Formats: sequence, C-alpha cells, structure tokens
Amino acid sequence: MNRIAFWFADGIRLPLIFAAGALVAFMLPLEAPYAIRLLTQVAIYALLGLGYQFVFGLAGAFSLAQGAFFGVGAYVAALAALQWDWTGNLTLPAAVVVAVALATIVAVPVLRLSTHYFALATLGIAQVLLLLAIGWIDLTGGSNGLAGIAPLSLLGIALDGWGGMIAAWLLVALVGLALYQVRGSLTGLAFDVMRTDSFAAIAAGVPVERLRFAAFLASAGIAGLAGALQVHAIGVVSPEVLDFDIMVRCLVICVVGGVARTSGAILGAFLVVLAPELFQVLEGYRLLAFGALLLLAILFFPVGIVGSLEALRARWLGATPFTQKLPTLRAPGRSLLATTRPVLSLERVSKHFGGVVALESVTLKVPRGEIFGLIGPNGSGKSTLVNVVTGLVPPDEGRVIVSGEDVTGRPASRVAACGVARTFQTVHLHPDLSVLDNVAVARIGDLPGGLFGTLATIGADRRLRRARAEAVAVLDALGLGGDGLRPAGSLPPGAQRRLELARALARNPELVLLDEPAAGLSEPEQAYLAERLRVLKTRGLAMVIVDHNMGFLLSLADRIACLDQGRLVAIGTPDQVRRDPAVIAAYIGLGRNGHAAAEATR
Amino acid sequence: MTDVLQLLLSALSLGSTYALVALGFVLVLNATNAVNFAQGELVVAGGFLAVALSPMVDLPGIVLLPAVMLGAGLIGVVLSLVAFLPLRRRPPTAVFISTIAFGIIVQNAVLAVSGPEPATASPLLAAGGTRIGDTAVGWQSLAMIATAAALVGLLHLLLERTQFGRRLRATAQDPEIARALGIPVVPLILVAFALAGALAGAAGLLVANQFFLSPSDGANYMLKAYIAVVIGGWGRTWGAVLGALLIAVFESFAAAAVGHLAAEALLYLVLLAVLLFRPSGILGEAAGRRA
Repeated sequence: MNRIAFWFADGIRLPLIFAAGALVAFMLPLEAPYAIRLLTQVAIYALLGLGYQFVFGLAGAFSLAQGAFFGVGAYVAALAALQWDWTGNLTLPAAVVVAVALATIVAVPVLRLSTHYFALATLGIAQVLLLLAIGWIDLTGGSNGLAGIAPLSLLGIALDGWGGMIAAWLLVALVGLALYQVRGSLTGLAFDVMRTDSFAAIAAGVPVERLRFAAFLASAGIAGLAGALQVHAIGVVSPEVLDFDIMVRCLVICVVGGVARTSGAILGAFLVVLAPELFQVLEGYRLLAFGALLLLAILFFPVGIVGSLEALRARWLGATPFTQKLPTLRAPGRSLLATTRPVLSLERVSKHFGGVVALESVTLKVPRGEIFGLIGPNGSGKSTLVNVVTGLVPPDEGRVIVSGEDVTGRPASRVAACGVARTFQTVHLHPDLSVLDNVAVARIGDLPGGLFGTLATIGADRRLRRARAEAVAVLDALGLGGDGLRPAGSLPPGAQRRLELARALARNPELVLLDEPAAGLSEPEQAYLAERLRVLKTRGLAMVIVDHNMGFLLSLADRIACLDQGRLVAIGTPDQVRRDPAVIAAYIGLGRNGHAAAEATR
Repeated sequence: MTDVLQLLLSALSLGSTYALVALGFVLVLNATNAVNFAQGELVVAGGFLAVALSPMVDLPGIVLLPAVMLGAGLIGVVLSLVAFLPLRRRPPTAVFISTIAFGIIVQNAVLAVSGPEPATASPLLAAGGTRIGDTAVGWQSLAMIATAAALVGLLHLLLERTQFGRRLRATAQDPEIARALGIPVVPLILVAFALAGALAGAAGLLVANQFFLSPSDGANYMLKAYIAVVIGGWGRTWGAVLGALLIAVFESFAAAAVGHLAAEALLYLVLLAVLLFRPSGILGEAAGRRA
C-alpha cells in the first residue's frame, strides 16, 4: 500500500497527475477554442518557468532577464516569420539560438557578479532590450509592435488549435524531463551544494562558474523558445513581451509553484494563467494579486506549493527509503609516485589588505608525503596563506606553483582542478544533504560525463550512483561509513570535521590544506584524526595543516613553519621550531622586535 | 553656451531627485545590508500622494512636503515590517523577492486608484520662471534643487550629529560589533526604512510637477538610484549623491545629443561597463574588502 502511495507521490509523477487532472477538469466545462487557447498559454508559461528553474532554481542566480529573453525569442520569431516567411521549423530554432547567443555575450560582464549586482545587471539588460524594442521602429514597429504572424507550423503540418497546444505541451514535457534528470543527477547535487554554500562547493571542486554559465544559457534558450511559441500562438508581438510583467509572472510561477522543481513550474503556470480567468473579479487587479501572492509565498511557503506538498508527504509517509544498492569499490586513489618535485611551492608571495600586511614575501616548498604544519599567533596570515594557495584570494606578488604548474591568480575552481583540496576553519557542509552525498558531490571533477551525459541517460544517473559508491569507500576510510544516510547537519562536530576531510579526499587530491582541523575536537577525536592523517601520508598525499594546537601539530608534522605578521620567521622540524627564539617571541606577542624578549627569556 | 547652461540646470534638478532616492537606498543598505527593490515604487507613491493632495489645498507644493514625506515614510515602515524584518535571517534572495513583490503591490495599488495616465502636481513654489542672461530658468527647477539640497543637508546633520547617525554608521561599518555593543537593531532598521521612504516620497513630490509621473515609473527610479550607488561606491552615502548628479548630467547631455531612448540605453551600458571593470565604483577606492 505504502509502495503504491510512494509511486504516485514520488518525483515527477505527482505533477504529471496534477497536470492531467487539471487538463481534464478545465477542458470539460469550457468551450473548446477557449480552453485550447488557455491551455496553450499554460504550456508556454510553464516552459518559461521551467527555463527559469535552471538559472534561479538550480544555480540560485537571481536573474531578472528571463522575461527579456522571452521577449527576444518572440521578436526573433516574429521577424523571421514576417520577413522571410519562415515556419516553426526555423523560427523556433532561430529564437533559441539568438537568445542563447545574447546570453553568451551578456554572461561575460554579468555572470561573475553575485547577488544584487547580478540581479540589477540583468534588470539593466532587460531595460536596454525594452528601449531597443520601443526605439528601433524600423525593425520592431516601435510601441505598436508587429502583427500578422502565422500560427505554428512544424514539418509542413499546420499546428493551430489542438495541434499547437499538443506541440507546446510536448515541449514542456521534454524540458521538464530534462530538468528532472538534471535535478536527480550528480550535477544536480553539485547545483544543490553551490546554491546552499559556495564555500562548500569550492571545497568539493564543483565547477561553479561553468555550471552557472550552462544554467544561464539553458534558461535563456528555453525562454526564447517560449517566446517564439507565444508569438505563433497569439499572432502579434509588442514591447509588452519585454515588460517587467513577464518577469513578475515568471517569479510567481517558480516561487509560488516550487523552486527548482518541474512540477512547481507547471503548477505555477496553471496558477498565473488560469487564476485571472477563473476570478474575473481580479480584472484590472491581476498584478496586484500576483504581488500579494508572491509576498505571501516568500513569507509563509518559501518552498512553494510543491515543496510544501513534499514536506507533507515526508510527514505522512516518512522519508523516501534509500534502496539503492551500491557496488563496492576500493577507495579512489591514484598511485602517487615518490618524486622529488615539490607538490606545493610558494615563491615570495605577498598579500596586503589595505594597509595591513597579511603575507610578506613568503617562500616555502612542500614535498610529497609530507605533513607540513603552519603555526603563528592570531592574525599572522595563516588563513590568508591557505586562501592564496587555494585561489580564494589572489596574491599581490609572487608565484604559487602546484605540482609544477603555475596557478597564481587562477580562480578557486581551476586551482582545485590541479589537485588541491581544503577544509575550512568553520565547517562548510550542506547540512540537509546526507553525509554520503556531501562526499559524493566531490567526485564531480573526476567522473567522466557532464551535463549532456546526464541528459542522455534515462532513469537514475549512473554517474551519481558511481560517485556515491566511491564516497562510501572514502567514508569507510575515515570511520564515517555507518553514518552515510544521516543528514550531515546531525553529526557531532568532530565527525563533521572528518566529513569535510572526507570530501576533500574524495577529490583525489595531491595536496590537502586543513585549516584548524583539530579545533573543537576532544582528545580521543584528535588522536583518531591524527592516525587517519598518518595513513594518508603513507599514500603520498601532501598536507598543510594550520592549527593553534601545538601539541597536535608537534607530534604529527614532519616540518613546521611559523608565521608572524605575515613573515615566515622559522621553519624546520618540530623540535627546532619549538626552541626557535623567534617563535617564542611571536607567541609572547612582541612580534618582530621580540628578539630582545627572546634574549631576556634565556 | 545657453544650451549648455539650460541642460546643466535640468540635469541638476533631475540629479537632485535621483540623489534623494539613492540616499534612501544607501541608508537601508547600510542599516540592513539589504537591497530594497521597492525604493522606486516609494517615489511613485510619494508623487501620487502629492498629486492627490494638491487639488485639496490651494497652496504651493512645498507645503505638502511634510505630509508627503510622512506618508511615504509610513509606507517605508510597512515595507520593513512586512517584507524585510520577517525575512532577515533568510538568504538575500528572499528579501529581493519580497521587496519586488511589495513594489508590485504599491505600483498596482496606485494604478488602481489613479489610473494609468501620467499625472502632475502643483508647482513647488510657483509656475513660470525668470531669465538669467539668455537662459530661461524655471522656478520649479530652482525650487527642486534647493529643496533637495536642504533635505540632503538635514540628512547630513542627522547622520553626523545625532546618536542615531552614529549608531547607523557603526552598524554600517560592522553589524556584528554594533550588535555586540548593544545597539538596538530593529528600531534602527525601522527608522532607516522610514527615512528611505520619506526621501523617496520627497523625490516623488519634486518630480511630480517638473516631469509627468506615471505609476510604472518606479523601476526607472530604482535603477537610477542603483546605478548612482554603484558609481558612487557601494554603500558610500556621499558617493551616492555624487553618482546621482553624474548620471543625471550624463543622461541630460546624452539625451540632447542622441535622443532620450538611446541615452537611457547608453546609461545601462555604462553600468555594465562599470560592473565589469570597476565593481567597487568609479569614485574612490574599494571599500574595506576583507578576507
């Protein structure tokens, strides 16, 4: 019984059942042409919303240009149909191509911006396009727009009325399935992590920029397609298609329906198209109602209708059982041959923040299979050094070389691709995701087959299954094997630190930087961690460990360096460094003038 | 020469309204770290409040200023109560959406009450103008600049000379520390939103006479304020004023050269260029970026 309930309630089936039910319910009492027109509109808006789910839902980028790409698609299709008598065979692809091309150009200045910069920059682009449509009268017909666009015709078949509606819904099904596939894949997992915690995404080696770019282009292309369909459906185009109203509807569809979900977009589309028709009282107040709805949804149902339904399902039926059988694999680990070439080498690296010196001409080398400790008082530049090596902060001067490759100034994701992994001083995990998936996502860089591989697969993503299997092996190696299916947020602090380490190791790195791994760990937990780290060392992994806990480092590290006010004041074996007067002075707190103090302590 | 003076005058009067809008935007930004997408709609609300009030009293527009600022300030408070405070522990996107939604509600409420026609309110002091040399100088333009300057001056006093101003600046510099020092955060947020609303309302009153105002103009003012803030250096109060004047000058002169629509489009392209090459603004150094 429960199985049947699950089958109905699971994933994409619920929305399909909803859509079919709604279709029948609304078609029956209505006159056919009117019903067909409405349902075609629902399909077009569903498509627009599905597109927005990629950039906003998956990538979490708050674009305000989705309505503009819809308008661009509409104008392109209208112009092509009017000027050259093109049919749907060519107008639809042309609309998609132009929208994607435009998105590619726009992405250069806009895509690396974050949060409000991105939102407003995309709004600015939408505004430019609107002005263009109004102002370039010779091409666009100005405020009056263009009329007389023929209904859709594909492959020689005229698709008006029923045919047009079915074609539009087929496209919805296609795009919806693609979204569903991506969401359930390893790539979807990566999107989930980068949306929740960008640091976690970087640590897992998720190619954040590439995924954002792909999502932005997908959104633009799908919006263009929806715009082209709209033009064929209503026969006219005017600057209204570029108005902010379209964007508002798009937000309502995704936020009220359910962010990132195929079913959310379809439900939301029903809502924005049918609600004004059903409640004629709203005539003239439609946008007012949309605004109120949007505000209520964001305040009280942040996960939207579908998200709330999913929560209800979880409460009534319990969480979906995790039944997947995982093949057993040995831990990933390329053989790290002993070579003399250092894994990490810093050459005269300097970094200043305003007038504050964070790093001053730091030079050091870390060979394979070495545990390299980094100590120093608060604010001595330890974390900055880790950030410079991992590419979070570019150095002002000097070079960072990883395994012979100069990575100075490269973005974090590119440095990560060179085999550099890290953990953070404060834990950055996806708390709601399972322990297993927090590690599995880190396999994204190594496993073959990207977004297109995912789309070509029908059913469960094999790449995700493999990533999970390999993640199990890594978790076992760190003593977390039994906790794989718990949410990461429910682990005790010590285990969360080991989980971060597991995620770093799952990337198969040659160099791992650990920022205060022992902080907040009990003595036995520290001892366990140290033992694990020694095992990793025997496999040839190089490790840089930043810690305040001298006891932990002195017994673990092969060499230790001490930073003071951004300068390297001592480097050597733990014993040497412990006795070094400069180190003692740094810890007494007299800084570089502390030699006198060191003399005094003798 | 005359043309240049004429243009400069209209640029200054336009810029002074942009400056008021942008100042409100920065105040909220500094107090709450939130981007208020409804700032432009507050201008519209203020403007239409002035339009509605002016036939009732047969007095110059300037008399209405306190009432309009009070009204728009109240809307600002409602905005913070409804669309910001409940969401301040959520990701920033939630606040983007809630302020956009609030803006839509305000815009369409105005539309429902006043209709879509552009409207105008009574002049600030008097209609007509005088001539300085060959340049025609409208009283309205002069009154706009003077009123905006006076409001900016008052705001300056408020920020620099009062306990509230010190607290706001402390919060803007480091919200964590401010909280640790026991600065009451919620009242500060409410006042910041109220001020933002009042300033936007004042801007609405100023433009409602000089230019026609229509309910859908909000997005335009919001974008102009945002561009002013980006150009002036993110979160810098006086940078925003300068940025506002700069874009108004750019807009007026570009419009005279290549037409209104092209000038607008050019302005957005400039914004994109600034974001691309100098994300920290073109005035002054990057504000305290830290690791």
